[in-house]
Amino acid sequence: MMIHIQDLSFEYKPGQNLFNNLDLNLDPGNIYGLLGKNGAGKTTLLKLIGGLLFPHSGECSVMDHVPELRLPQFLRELFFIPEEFYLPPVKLDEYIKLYTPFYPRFNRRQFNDYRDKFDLPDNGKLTSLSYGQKKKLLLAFGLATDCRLLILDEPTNGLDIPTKSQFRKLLAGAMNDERTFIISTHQVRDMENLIDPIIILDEGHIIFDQDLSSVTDHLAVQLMADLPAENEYLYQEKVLGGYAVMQENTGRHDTKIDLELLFNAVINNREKMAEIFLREVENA
Amino acid sequence: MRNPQFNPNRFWHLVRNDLFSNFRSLLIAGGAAIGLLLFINFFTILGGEVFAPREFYCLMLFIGGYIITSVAYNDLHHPQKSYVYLTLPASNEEKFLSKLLLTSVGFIFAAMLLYLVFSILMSLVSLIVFGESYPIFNPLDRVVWICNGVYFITQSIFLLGAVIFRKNTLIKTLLSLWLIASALSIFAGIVFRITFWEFFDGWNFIDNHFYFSSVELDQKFTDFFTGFGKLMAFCFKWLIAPVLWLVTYLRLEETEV
Repeated sequence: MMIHIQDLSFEYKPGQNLFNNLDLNLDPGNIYGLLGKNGAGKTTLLKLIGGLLFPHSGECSVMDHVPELRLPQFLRELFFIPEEFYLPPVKLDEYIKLYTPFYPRFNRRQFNDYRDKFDLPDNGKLTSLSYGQKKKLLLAFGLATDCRLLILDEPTNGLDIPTKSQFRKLLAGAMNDERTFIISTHQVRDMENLIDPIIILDEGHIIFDQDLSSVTDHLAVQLMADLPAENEYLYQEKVLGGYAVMQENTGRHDTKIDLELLFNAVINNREKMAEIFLREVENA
Repeated sequence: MRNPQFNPNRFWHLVRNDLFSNFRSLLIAGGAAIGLLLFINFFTILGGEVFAPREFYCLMLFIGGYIITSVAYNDLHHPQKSYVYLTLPASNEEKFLSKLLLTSVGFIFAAMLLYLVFSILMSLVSLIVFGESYPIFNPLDRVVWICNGVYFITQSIFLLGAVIFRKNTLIKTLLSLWLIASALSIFAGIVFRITFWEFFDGWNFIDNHFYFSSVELDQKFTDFFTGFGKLMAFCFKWLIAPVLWLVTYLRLEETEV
């Protein structure tokens, strides 16, 4: 198991628990999508996994390490790209020289390949790059470290449309059975066709943790001209030409799931969603 | 309890990284120190005074060193830099020792070298312009090494301040020192007043009565204060720095973003 969290509690201020007895298990070989509204606790959870915050109680084990010890053998398998990041005022070559000695499996050829695919300059001062370019550079570097755990907090913020697509391709291409990527975002559409499983965090609780095949097994989305009766659907949104309606997939139809719709359905109909997926667990 | 983690190769890379990332502040501090020295020296020569390289060196060592030490952990308190620093694959021990090495021994040797070069240059300039040479800074001077020793110990206070305080580190460290010193003085005064109550008239100390009441008593006090002084000297030389370094390391270890 890549990440094992059990009974974890955390609070920023005494008496205001953000996480209370949180449980979460993540396996290698997946690109996890951590979704949630602003303030749901996504970044805090990522920081706890990365050893940047310490749990107040409970267990948090990442790659069989205790993150808060911040041991070098743990840190060299982790690359954390926060939403707001820092790059030193040095040239790219200097940056590579300064930081690669800490990542023994860093692959320069792979880095150059990612750099070219992201259309980044060969050298030059890092501070002269745009925000999007800096983010791409960090991502290229992080992927080239061959670390086992890549944490990305709101990675598509500040990226243009072609880059978002390139980002998805690169990330999917860099995945293997040994690695785990965790992508936290509230821009769920950017992550379509990339993240699987989906974890939804709300007010410090994991209210949804399913892989996409399970989601499509249980839920179906249809475009309907008229709304069905309220008890016949889980969630609906008015769209051009009718309603996008999410229903329980009783007939096991294979439909494409819109992540944003799923997210809104889970947030707005938490109990019913839990009931549908729990029923499956009980039947199994 | 886990075993300390130290890898010489990784440590060397970390030192190089720390040096590089603080290069700009080092350059600013070095430039400011040289500027200040040039200014002081210029007026010293104009005033016909004898240049005292040793004393200027100590001044530069303490002021420059405390400033540099106070900003040693700036990355730790920066919202974005802290991610980079704390997730950089090096142990807390290495991260602590790297800063300690650079701000203590590293700074002492850099300051001596810089000052030696400066002193030689100033001597040459003085010889050419004023027709008389300067005394050149002697790095092996005993007083210089006493200064180095005192700096080595006292910088531990500023290193601790650097890891604790987020902003205005130097001022806050100095203020804290002043507050601690004041509190200790008041505490010592109260203890003294209670212990030697018979030598006081209200809060006024009857000095002559204290010293000349009896020869035996006088000897007792002398022995007490001599012993106390030795204890304080021992604490200063051997305890303060290791204890403060340990607290700094522990504070670094428990730092969150």
